[in-house]
Amino acid sequence: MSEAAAPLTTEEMVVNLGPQHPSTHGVLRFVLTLQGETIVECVSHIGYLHSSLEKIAETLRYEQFITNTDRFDYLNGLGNELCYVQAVEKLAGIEPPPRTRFIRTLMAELKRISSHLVYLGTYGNDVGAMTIFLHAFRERELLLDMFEAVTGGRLLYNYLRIGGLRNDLPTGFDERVYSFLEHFSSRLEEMNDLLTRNRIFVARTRDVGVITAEQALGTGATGPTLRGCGVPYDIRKLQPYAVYDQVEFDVPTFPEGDCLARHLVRMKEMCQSMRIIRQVLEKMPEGEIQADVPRRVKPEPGEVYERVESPRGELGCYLLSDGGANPYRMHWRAPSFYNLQVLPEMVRGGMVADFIAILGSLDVIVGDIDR
Amino acid sequence: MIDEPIRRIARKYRESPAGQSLIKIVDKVLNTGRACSVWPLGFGLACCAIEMMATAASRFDLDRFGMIMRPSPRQADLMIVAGTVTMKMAPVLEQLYHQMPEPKYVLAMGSCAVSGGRFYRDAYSVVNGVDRIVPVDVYIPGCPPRPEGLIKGLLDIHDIIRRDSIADAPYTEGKRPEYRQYPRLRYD
Amino acid sequence: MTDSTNDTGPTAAAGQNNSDIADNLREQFGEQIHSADVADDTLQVEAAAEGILAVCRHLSTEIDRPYRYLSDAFGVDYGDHLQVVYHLVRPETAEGALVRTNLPRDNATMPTLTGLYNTANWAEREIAEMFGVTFEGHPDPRKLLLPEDWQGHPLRKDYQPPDHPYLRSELLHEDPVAFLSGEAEPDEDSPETDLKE
Repeated sequence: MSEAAAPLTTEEMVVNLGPQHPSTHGVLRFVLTLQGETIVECVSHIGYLHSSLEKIAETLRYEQFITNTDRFDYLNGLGNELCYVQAVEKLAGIEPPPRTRFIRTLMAELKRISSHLVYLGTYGNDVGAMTIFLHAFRERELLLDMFEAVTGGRLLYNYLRIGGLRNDLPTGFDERVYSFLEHFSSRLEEMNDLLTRNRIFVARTRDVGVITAEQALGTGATGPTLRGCGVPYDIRKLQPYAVYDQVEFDVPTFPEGDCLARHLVRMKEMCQSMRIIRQVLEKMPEGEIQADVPRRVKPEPGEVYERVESPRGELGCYLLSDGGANPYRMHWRAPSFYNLQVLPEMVRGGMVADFIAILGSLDVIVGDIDR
Repeated sequence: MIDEPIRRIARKYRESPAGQSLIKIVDKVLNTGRACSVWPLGFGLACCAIEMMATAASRFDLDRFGMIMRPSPRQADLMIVAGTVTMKMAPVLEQLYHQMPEPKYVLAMGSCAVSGGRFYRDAYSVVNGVDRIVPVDVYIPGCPPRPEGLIKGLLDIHDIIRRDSIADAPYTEGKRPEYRQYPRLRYD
Repeated sequence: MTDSTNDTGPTAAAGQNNSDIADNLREQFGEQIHSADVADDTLQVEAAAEGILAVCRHLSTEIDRPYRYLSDAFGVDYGDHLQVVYHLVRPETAEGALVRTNLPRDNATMPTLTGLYNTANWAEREIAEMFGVTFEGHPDPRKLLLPEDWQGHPLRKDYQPPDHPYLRSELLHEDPVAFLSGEAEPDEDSPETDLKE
C-alpha cells in the first residue's frame, strides 16, 4: 500500500495565552510558539489596561493627581504616593516635617509586606498550592484593618499630601503594629514552611526561568528580579530617601537567578521590612505632620526625576513644571514594564507549565505596565 | 430551543389555579438551585480584582454562596467586570460575553466599570462604562468597592434570579430589571 | 583630574566625577554635544540626534564605573519641538544621568539604542506611538500600548481624541441628548476650565 513511511514531521503551533486567563495577574496577552510542549518563542502584547494616565496628569493639579498615583501599581498605593509626593516636594522646595517622613516610611514598609503577601498567595495559586492563598490573604486582612484605621481605605488611600499627611496616626497604633509583628513572624515561618520546604514547590521553581545578571540589567529589570540574580541593587540603600538612612536593614540577594531565588528574596524582604518597622516605631518623633504649603502648589519651572523602591523594583517619577498648577509632563517609570520585558529570555526552551510559574515569579502588575 | 416546548406547556398550566401553584413550586426549586450556585467568570482587570480576590478569600468567603470562580466563559453564568475597560480590551469583553451560555448576568464592579470613573473626563482610551458594550444587571460603585459591597451586589443577582419563571420568556429576551433611577443613553 | 587628554580608558582618571565626564564629553564629541553639565549631582547631557548613539556608548563602556544600564526612556513635547530623554544608571551606586536629544515635530527620526541596551526596545516603541518619533533600525516597530489601528499620537500637546461612542462624556454637558445628536453648540466655558489654572 504505502511506500516507505515518511519521517515524522512536527509543526510549530502558535498558542494564544489570551488577555483573560485564570492566572490572576491581570490582562496580559502572550503569543507562544510551541514545538510540542516546549516554548520556542514568546511575544508579549500589552496595553489592554492602558488608561492614558500620563495625559491625565497634565490636566489635573499637582495635589489632585495624588489619588491617581495610588492606582498605577495598585498593590503599592502608599509607595506610589510617596514617590510622586517626594518628586513634587523636591520640585517645589518643600521640606516635610520629620514625623511625616517616619510615618511615610512606616506605611511604605507595611504596604511592602502586604504586597508580598498577595504575591505569595497568588504565586502559590498559580503553581497549584491553593491553601497558601487563604493563609496569605488572612494575614493581609490584619494589615488592611490597620490601613483602614489610619487612612480610611483598604486598598487605595489618598493619604499622603504635598508637604505632609492627611491625618496623624490614631492613638494606640504602635501597640497594634507591635502585636501584628509578633503574630506575623510566627505566621510567616509557617507559610514559608508550607511553600519553601515543600518538595513539589521546589521542583517547580528551582532552575526554572534562569536569567543572568547581565540579561536582567540589559533589559532594565529591577527589584527582586535583579536581586534574585545576585545584584544588590536597592534604591533604599543606594540613594536613601525618607528615613531609610536612619534605619538598619539588609538587602537580601540570591545568586541563582531562578524562580526559587526570586521567591526567597521576597520572603526575606518581608523579614527585613518587619525589622525596619520596629526601628521606625522606636525612633519616631512627636511633632506636626504638615508643612506650610500653599493651597495650590505652583513649583518653579524645572524638572525632577525621583526614584523609590517599590516591592516590584525601581519606581521613578519624572515631573516637568512650567510654573503652572498642572504638571507639564509627568512620566512614570514603572518597574513591571521593564520586568516583563525580560520574560521571553526566561521562558525560551521551557515548558508551558513553567511559563505560568515564571510569570508569577516576576510579580507584575498590569496597572503599572500599561499605565 | 429545547426549552421552548417546556415553556409553552408551563404557560398553559399557569392558566389554571392549581397549575399556578405547581409552576410556583417548580420555579422556586429551579431558581433556588440556580441562585445557590452562580459561577462567576472572574474578569478581574485592575485594582477591583484584588478586592474581588479578597472577597473570595478567607475573611469574606464567596464559597459559602456556592460561587466558584471559573476561568472559562463557557462554564460561567455571571461575568463580574472588575476594573477598567479600555478600547483595546472592549472587543475581547464583548467576545467573552457572547461566549457565555444563557442565562447570563453581568455585574459591573467599581467606578471604572460602572461609568468610566476617574477616566470619564479626560482619558482617550478608556471606555466610559462597561454598559456601553454589554448589558449590565447590577452596578456596584466604589473605588474599589468594599467586599461587603460586592457581596451585596451578588445578593442582588440572587434576587434577579429568583424572580425568574419557567413560564416566561428566557431572561435575556427583553426582560431586564431597571435598577437605574435615571435613563442611561444607549448606543446601538 | 584629567582635562586635556582624550584618553578615556579605565586607566584614565580613577575617581572621575561627573564634571570630568562632562568635560571629556565636550572635548570628545565637539559640536554633537549641545550641553553637558552637572545639576544636583546628576549628569545632564544634551546631544544631537545623530551623535546620541556614540555618546551613550561612551558613557556605558568607556568611562570609569560606567553608566551601563538604561533605566528609562521617555519623550516630552515642548510645543515647538520634541525631546527624547534617556536615563542611564550606574548599577553600583544607582546614580543617574539624563541624556536628551531634541527633535523637530515633523519627521522626527533618530537612531535606536536597542543595540546597546535591550531596555530601549519597549521604551522606544512607546515613545514612537505616543509622540510619533521614528527610531531607525528598531527591530520591532509595532505599537505597544495602543491598539494597532489607532490614529494619532496621544501624548502630543495637540492631540484630539477620536470621537467614538465608547469615549463620549456627554454627562459633562448641560444637555446630554443634544450633545449626542450633534445639535448642541460648543460651549465656551466647559466644566473643565474650572480645574485648569
